[in-house]
Amino acid sequence: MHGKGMKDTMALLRRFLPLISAVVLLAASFFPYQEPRTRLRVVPGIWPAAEPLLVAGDLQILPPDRFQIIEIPWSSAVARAFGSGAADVAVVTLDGALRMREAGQRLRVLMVMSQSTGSDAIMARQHIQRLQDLKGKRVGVERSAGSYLLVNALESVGMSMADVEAVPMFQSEMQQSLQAGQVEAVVVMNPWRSKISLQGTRSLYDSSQLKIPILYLLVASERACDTSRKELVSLLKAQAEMTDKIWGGKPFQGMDAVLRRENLNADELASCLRQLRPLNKSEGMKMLNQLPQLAVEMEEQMIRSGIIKTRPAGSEWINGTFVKEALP
Amino acid sequence: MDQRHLREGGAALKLFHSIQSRITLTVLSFGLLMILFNNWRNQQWLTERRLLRLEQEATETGSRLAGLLQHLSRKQQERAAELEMAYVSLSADVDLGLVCNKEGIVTCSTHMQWKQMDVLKTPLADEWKRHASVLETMAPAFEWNAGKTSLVVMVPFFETYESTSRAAVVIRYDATLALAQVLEDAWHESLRQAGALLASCLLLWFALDELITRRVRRVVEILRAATSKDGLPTTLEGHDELSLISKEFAGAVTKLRTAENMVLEAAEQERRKIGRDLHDDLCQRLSAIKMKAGVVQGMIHDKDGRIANLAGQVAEELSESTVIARSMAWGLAPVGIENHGLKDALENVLRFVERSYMVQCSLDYSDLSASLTGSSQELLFRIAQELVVNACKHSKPNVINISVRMEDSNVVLSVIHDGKPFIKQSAADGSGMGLHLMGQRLRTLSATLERTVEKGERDFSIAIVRIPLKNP
Repeated sequence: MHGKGMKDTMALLRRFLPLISAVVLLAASFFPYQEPRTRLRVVPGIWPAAEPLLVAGDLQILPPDRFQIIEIPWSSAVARAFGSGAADVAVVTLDGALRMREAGQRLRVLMVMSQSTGSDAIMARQHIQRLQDLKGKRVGVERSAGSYLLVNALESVGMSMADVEAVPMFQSEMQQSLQAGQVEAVVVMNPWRSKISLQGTRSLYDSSQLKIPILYLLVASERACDTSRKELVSLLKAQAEMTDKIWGGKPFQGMDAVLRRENLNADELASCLRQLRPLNKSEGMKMLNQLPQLAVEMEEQMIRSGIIKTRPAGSEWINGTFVKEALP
Repeated sequence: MDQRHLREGGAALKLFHSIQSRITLTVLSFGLLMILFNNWRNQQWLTERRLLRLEQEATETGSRLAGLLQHLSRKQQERAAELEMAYVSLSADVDLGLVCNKEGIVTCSTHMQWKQMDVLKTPLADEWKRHASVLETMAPAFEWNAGKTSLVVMVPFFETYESTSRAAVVIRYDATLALAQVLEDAWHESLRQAGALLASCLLLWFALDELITRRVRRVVEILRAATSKDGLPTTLEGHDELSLISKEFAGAVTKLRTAENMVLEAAEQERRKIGRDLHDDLCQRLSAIKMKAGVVQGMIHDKDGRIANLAGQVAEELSESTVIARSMAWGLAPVGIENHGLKDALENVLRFVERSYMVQCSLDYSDLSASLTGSSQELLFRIAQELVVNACKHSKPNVINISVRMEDSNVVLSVIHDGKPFIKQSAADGSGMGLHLMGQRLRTLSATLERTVEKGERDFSIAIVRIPLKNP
C-alpha cells in the first residue's frame, strides 16, 4: 500500500513538476530587475512651519537611509522641485497648493500642519499708517508666497492689486529693501517678519485677519502615495511628535539647530511660534474635511485677482488615510 | 514503521545515487559556484563603477559650483548662490556642502543651520583643516576616506576680482547608501540566476530521466530477461546509442542461444552414439560371451563340478554386466523413444524410480507423437527425467505422477509428487548443473517451467512444463 502510494506520488511529480519547473524558469528569467532603493525626498522649505520635519531630520528621527531632507530656501523653488519630480513631499501653503494644482502638478494633501495666525504680515515703513496709504506705492512681495495676503488686505479696504506697484523680491531681500527705502511696504513671513518688526516698522495687516487662513499643508506626489506609504506614515508621525516638542514651550533637543537655521534667538523663535497655530489630530482632520470648500472660495478670489487663471482640474487631491493611519 | 522509513531512506538514497541525479547535482553545484563567483565579480565591478561615477559627479559639481559661485559673488547675487547650494543637495549622495571664505566663515550651505558659522564648528571642520592649503595653492583637492565610503572634494575660487579674496566649495559625499544598493543589486541578480538554475536543473533531471534513465532501466530489464528463460530479448525502439546497444545485445544473445542449442544437440547426438555403440556392440558381445560361458558350463563335467560352477558364475556375472551396460546404453540413448515412443521411455524412467527409490509411480499419457519431433520428444523426456529424479533425490515422495497432455496449443508435462516442495538452491552447492541443463533444454523448446504447491490433507508439489507447439 505504501509502495503504491509512493509510486502514485512519484507519478504525480513526474507529471506536474516539469511544468512547474518550466514556469519557475520563465518567472526567474523574466524576473524584474531590482528597483533602485530610493529615499523619500522631502522639501520642507525654510520657514517655522516646516521646522518639525527639519528637526526630525537633524535628530535622525527620520532615518537618513529612508528620508532625504532637502533644504530649499525659496517657496517657488520648492514648488518647482516638487513639480519636476525632484522631491516627493513638500510643505506648502493652501494658496501655493492651488497654484501648483493649476500648473498641473498631481499632488495629494496628506495633512494640515498649522495655521498662520499672524506669521504672515504686511509690514510698512513707519510713515505708512493704513493700507489705504499704500495706493500707488511700491510693495515688495514674493509672488509665490505673499500675493494671497496682499490681495486680501487690499480688498479689505476696497483696493486691488492695480492700486499698488508690486515689486517681486525674495523674503530674504525684504528687510534690506525696506531699510533702503526701495519699497514702502513688504509682504513678509516669519522668520523675516520678526526681524523686520524690530526695526521700527508698522504691521498693516496680518494673516490672523484673513477670512480664509493661510494653512500650511504637507503634500505628497501621487507616485509617493502609491509606492512609499510606510515612509509617509512615518513622516506624519515624526511631524506630530516634533510639533508637540517644538510648541511645548520648553527648550527642546535640536533647538540650537533651529535657531541657527532660522537665524533667530530663543525669544524671536518663541514669538514666531506663537504666530503659528499647530493643529492637533482632530483639528487637522476637521480642517482637512473643510479644505475642499475653503479651496473653492480661495480659488474664486485668486481667479478674481488674477493670481491664477483657471480653477484647477481634477477632484482627488486630498488623502486623509495617511493621517488616520499615522495618528490613530 | 522503522522498516518503512528505512525503505524510504533507501529509495531516496538510490534516487540520489542515480546518474541523472548525479549529473543534475553536478550541474547545480557548478552553476551555484559560478553564480557566487559572478556575484563577487559583479560586486567588485559595480562598486568600482559606482565609486568612479561618484568621483566624476563630485569633481564636476565642485568645479561647476566654484565657477558659478565666483561669478555670482562678483555680481553680489548671494540669493542665487544659496539656491545653487540647495540644488546641490538634491543629489542623493551629498552629505553636506559648504562655501567658506578665507576666514573660514560659511557663506552658503546645503543645510541652512551652518550658514554664517565658523567652518571649524561644522561637521566638515576636519576636512577643512586637512585641505586648508587649497586656498594657498588654488588647486582642487579630492580625497576618499580609508573605507571608501566618504568622499570630500574642495574646489577654490576667487570671491571678487582681488587675488586675496579666496574661498572654497567643500562637498562631502556619502557613498554608504550607493554601495549598499550595489550589494543589493548584485544579490538580487544572483538570486534570480539561482532560481533560473534551480528550475533548469529540475528540467534537466526530468529530461535525463526521460531520455536516459528510463531507457537504461529498460536495457537492464532486457539484460535480465535474456539470462532467464523468457525467450529472446526485445530491443529498444529508436536510433540512439542505447537502442543500438540493445539491438547488438539481442543479436549476440540470439547467436549464443543458437550456439548453445547446437552444443546441446551435439552432446545429445554423442550420447546417443555412445549409447547405440554400447547397445549394439558391447551388449551384443557380452550376450554372446554369456551364451558361450553357458555352453562351456554344459560341456564341463568334472568330478566335483567346481569348474562347471565357476563357468556358471562367469555366465551370471556376464549377464549382470549386460544388464548394466544396457541400462547405461538406455540412459545415454533412450532407445525407447526411437523404437517405442516417448510413453515407453517415460514408463522405463518410472520403473527405474520405483526400483531405485521405492516410490509408487503412475503415468497419464496422451499420444503426442504427431505434435513433437523426435528431438523435441527427447528433450521433453530429459526434462521429465530430471524433474522426477530430482524429486526422488531431494523431496523424498511416496507417490509420483507424470502427466503428458495437450492444452490449447501447448504440450503440457506435469510432474506431481507428495514430497517436500522444491527449494531453489544456489549454484555454489554444486547441485545446479542438472537445473542449468534443464534450463537450456527449456529454452531450446521455448518452454516455460512453473512450480506450485497444492495444499490439502497432503501437500502436492507440481512442476508444469509448457511447450508451445508453434516452436516444437
